[in-house]
Amino acid sequence: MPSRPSVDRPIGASAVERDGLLDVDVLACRGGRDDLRFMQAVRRSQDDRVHIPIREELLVAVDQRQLLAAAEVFSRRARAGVGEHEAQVFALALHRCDQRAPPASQSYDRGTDHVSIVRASRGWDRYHRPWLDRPLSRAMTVRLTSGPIPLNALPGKIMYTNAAIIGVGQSAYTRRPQPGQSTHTFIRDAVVAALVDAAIDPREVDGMAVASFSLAPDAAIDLAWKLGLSLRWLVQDTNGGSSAMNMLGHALRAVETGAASVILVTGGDATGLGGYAKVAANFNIATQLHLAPLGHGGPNGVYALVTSRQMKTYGLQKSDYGQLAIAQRAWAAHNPYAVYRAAMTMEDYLAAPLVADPLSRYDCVPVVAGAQAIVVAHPDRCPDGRAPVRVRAHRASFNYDNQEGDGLQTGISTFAGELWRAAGVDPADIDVASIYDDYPTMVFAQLGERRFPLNTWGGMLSAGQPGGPAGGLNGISEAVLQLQHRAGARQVEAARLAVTTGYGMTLYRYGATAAAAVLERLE
Amino acid sequence: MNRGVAIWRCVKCRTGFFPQRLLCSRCHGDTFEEDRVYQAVVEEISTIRHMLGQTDWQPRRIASVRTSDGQRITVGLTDESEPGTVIELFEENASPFGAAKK
Repeated sequence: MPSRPSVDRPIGASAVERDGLLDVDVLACRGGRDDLRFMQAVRRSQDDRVHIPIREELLVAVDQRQLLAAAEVFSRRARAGVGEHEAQVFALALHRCDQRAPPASQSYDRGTDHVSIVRASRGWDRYHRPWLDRPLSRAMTVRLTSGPIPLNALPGKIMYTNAAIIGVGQSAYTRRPQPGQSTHTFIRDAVVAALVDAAIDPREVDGMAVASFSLAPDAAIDLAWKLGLSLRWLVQDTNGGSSAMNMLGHALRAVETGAASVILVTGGDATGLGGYAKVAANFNIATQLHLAPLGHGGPNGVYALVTSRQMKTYGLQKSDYGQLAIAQRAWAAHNPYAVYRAAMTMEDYLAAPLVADPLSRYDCVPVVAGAQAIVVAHPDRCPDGRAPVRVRAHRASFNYDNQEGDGLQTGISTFAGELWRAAGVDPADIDVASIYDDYPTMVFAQLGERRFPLNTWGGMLSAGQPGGPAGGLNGISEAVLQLQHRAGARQVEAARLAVTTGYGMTLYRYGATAAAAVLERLE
Repeated sequence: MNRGVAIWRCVKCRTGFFPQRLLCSRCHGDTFEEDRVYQAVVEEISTIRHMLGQTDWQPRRIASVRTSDGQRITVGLTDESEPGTVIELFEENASPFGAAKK
């Protein structure tokens, strides 16, 4: 354990760091089991001053001014090598802020620490009703140690400690929806499955995010109405293949800051093949005016050109793409929802008819009707015996190069290093990856030369793409199943960390939105 | 059919864009004037052999080209031009096409 400097230094009006102790005023707590432990410790104290080792998962809420002042101290101590863990603990502390802390929601950057000051969620008193009856202002002492912190066993910053993915669900996938089946009914099926999986009563849902190319003329609020959900947080995302990742980020922040406590994140489409052709031809004004009249074939034509460029730039052969398609098909054999599960050989792959040279049938994602949903809530809401899945870091990029590059990289290239640093892990630590795969080309563009167990549900190339939005949610859902050790025959042994990506919105020459997250099994 | 393809040139920094933008991505100037480019070099090509929802589709060729002014645009090819070919550009209803220079 590193030696600790002995200091007696005021850091705020009523917060003092003294010989390894931080004296602050505690206003209130919210949250789950960690706070309960804290409260139990407080109750044991005799004089409103408690000494709680970090090993007991101390989480403390203080007012805004003290938080900022303390952030300075923790940052200095972290920079001085006293202990990286301490800064993490402080970040955790900030995420347990008092509902009275003004303003409602602000973020501050203090050196390497990202600090959020949040408003407690509606419903926190359900967990801390006894606390409401206690004086809200009390003094306490935090004992700083640099021992291991159970919630933060890995180094790095944790973006979300009060929000996790606790359940996943999906509808059936079908190439040809039947009469009576629609985008709405597929989404309903996915939502019901996710709520059952998360053991959440629909009346507990107070937030929803949805993305779809075929929900119109309905919008998110119509869906809430038709699902019978009365909400206080509602988002509709329009970023195609990265919508799922965007919605995940929005939902995590909403739960973390208390804007909602149980959020459904869903997406789905049931355009049928003809309907999808209309979507592809009218994707945006640039496509309507400048691409569709050429007979460009929708995204198939766009990514045919990108694939040619990639093959030329990196000396790739058609069979290189086949390796990916074949490997994913092998995973799909174990996924009962996948629309294509029969084993595929390289001969099968190379013999497939060309769709848009050099792309052949197995390079082009099959459009299906279907929907996915996940549930984001406090990790304590995860059903008993199941590990919640936390997001260690999440980043996104939009219009990263104004369509002036070659499309052989994605917006992920703008934040990849930052994502890994924020997550506190290296690519080599990752156990399983869900990489958005509407075309093999774009998997390579996102992955580079990294190797992971990849798209273990078969990927969209074999399982099917229920529209771009849900097409990202299936990758997230699979990562969750893997990290919860519920993937059955597809299970990657002892999976603990996953990376998921989204990519989409072909503005003109290639996709312009990208996002990625590092997910972690929370023991 | 119009000879050449319309581009939009930032009055402030003279960068040309296709498709049209609202602000210049280089200098964020907000005023553009229409200009035209007439030639391009084919970089990549594809033949669209199948179109979702179409049963009597006739294959068409498209290409990613670099114009003489530097823009990378997607055109319909009306001949058998291959990568490296210098093509002449023309427009039909705001859509860019090209064929080998004669």
